[in-house]
Amino acid sequence: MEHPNLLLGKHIRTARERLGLTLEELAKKASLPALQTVSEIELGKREVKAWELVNIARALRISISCLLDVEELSTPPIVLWRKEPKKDRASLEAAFLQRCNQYHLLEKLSGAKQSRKLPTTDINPETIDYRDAVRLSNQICNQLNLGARPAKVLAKVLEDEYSVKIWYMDLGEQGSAATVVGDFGEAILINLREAPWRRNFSLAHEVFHLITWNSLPLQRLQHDSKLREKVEKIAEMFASNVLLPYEPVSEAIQSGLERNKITYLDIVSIARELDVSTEALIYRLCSLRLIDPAKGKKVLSDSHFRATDRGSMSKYWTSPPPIPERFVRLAFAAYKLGRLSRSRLAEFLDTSLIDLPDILLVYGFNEQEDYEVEISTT
Amino acid sequence: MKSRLVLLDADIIIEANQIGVWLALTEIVEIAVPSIIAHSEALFYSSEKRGIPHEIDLPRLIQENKISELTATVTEISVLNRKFDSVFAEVLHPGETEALALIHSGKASGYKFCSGDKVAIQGLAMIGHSSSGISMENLLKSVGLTKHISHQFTESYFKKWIGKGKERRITGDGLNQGGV
Repeated sequence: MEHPNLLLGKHIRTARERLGLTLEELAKKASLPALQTVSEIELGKREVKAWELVNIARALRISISCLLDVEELSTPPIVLWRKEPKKDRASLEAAFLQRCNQYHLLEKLSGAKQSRKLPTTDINPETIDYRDAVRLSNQICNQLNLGARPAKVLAKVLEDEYSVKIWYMDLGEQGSAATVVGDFGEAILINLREAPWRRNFSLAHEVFHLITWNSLPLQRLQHDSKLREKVEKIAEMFASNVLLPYEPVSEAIQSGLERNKITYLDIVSIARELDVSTEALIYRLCSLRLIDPAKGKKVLSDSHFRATDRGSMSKYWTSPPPIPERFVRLAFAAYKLGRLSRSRLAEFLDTSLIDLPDILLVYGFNEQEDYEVEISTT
Repeated sequence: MKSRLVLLDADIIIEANQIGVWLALTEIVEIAVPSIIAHSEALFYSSEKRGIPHEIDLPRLIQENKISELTATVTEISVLNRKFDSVFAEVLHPGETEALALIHSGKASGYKFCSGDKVAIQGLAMIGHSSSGISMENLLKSVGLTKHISHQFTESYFKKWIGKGKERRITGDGLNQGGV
């Protein structure tokens, strides 16, 4: 058996290289004195102090138990990006995967019930086309019971009923969204910088990738740009169909149809009501042949329409919670059950011990309250 | 000559500062903190609810020899981690893991581990070191300090979670079956 220092050094090196960090960058991130220190640690020539180990694990976004494991570091699952962020892709992926693992740990600790499984489908990458988008969107709308305002409930249904882990991170100007399936289940990453209606669209788009995860070969999707482009277009159509089902959309636009015209303000109001972008709504109206595509394009390029659209945004703008509500709920339950340390709870919620009670209150939990009071049932 | 040797968890340090017994404790008790708590965590306290937070400067106190730090080696932490199953190894804060590793390895021999955290207290009992722990209430009593403390620092709370840890030691819940 390899010496523990040697094994630890090997794991640190593997994790560092996965993140694309240089020795110097890791030394800086982990508050170690110099790059030579990291080099000696990786070669197993230097005993790592416990607090240094903590700093290294935090910098590498990996748990201490993984670093100390006698087995080889497992290969992380492939993260499928819609639009990769310009900077720090590897470290954002590592942060996302770490959150997914924490989420899964909390599910186990809190005794969260095994939820329903998202439908999966067999799709042939060679023959996939728009009919698949229509078929799958109908299937998802029915199975998930998304109702007349799918965008308003999609995230909650995915999280609460299907245990899909949804996380929001700052992915910069360029980054959009990503999907991953691992031992922890299914997860979606959304750019928190996006407008709420754009986030909804990204979410629906990523659901397409989840339900076709086993049919479309990931390696090929990553490297075959032609297939990738085709699949992305179909995923866009799927998202549009899921968020804007025919009936609610035609109902919303009914009065306009009766008058044979619709005002800019009507379009903006309907989009806000359905929690989608005006672009998404107009494209959908065109695809449903409710408005002429040429007119739709003209509206979208009209500065007056753009001004009306922008003017309504602030009223409806919401930001996602920094930490998903379900994650906090599971963490608090695990803590109350005596299965998660309070310091670890604070760490999971990105806060300090002193601020923990206030953060919990923001999510509606009071540490001092007795949640074990019982009532008898009939 | 200081009367007692205690290894403190972060929550005890914060509570002792909050209720104003920290200085007295450092004078009459031989206090040690795990190196992770001393170096990797910034601890704050506030004497009033939602008052201004004050930083607890542990490195300075260590430098002035008012408290000491104990460091576990990576091997000692690995040995401790292997006692727990993969889930329990993830639920402790690294500072608490180090404290338990110090107790388990014998490096903190003579020290009593003082914590108000139910998981850390269970962990102590799960590795068969129930008698190496002390509640904050008992610690304060033993050195003649009486103050009102939160429920999680009382003797009854400590006993309850030591009991749960003992149960888990018997049932094997949270323990690596091959490593006990």
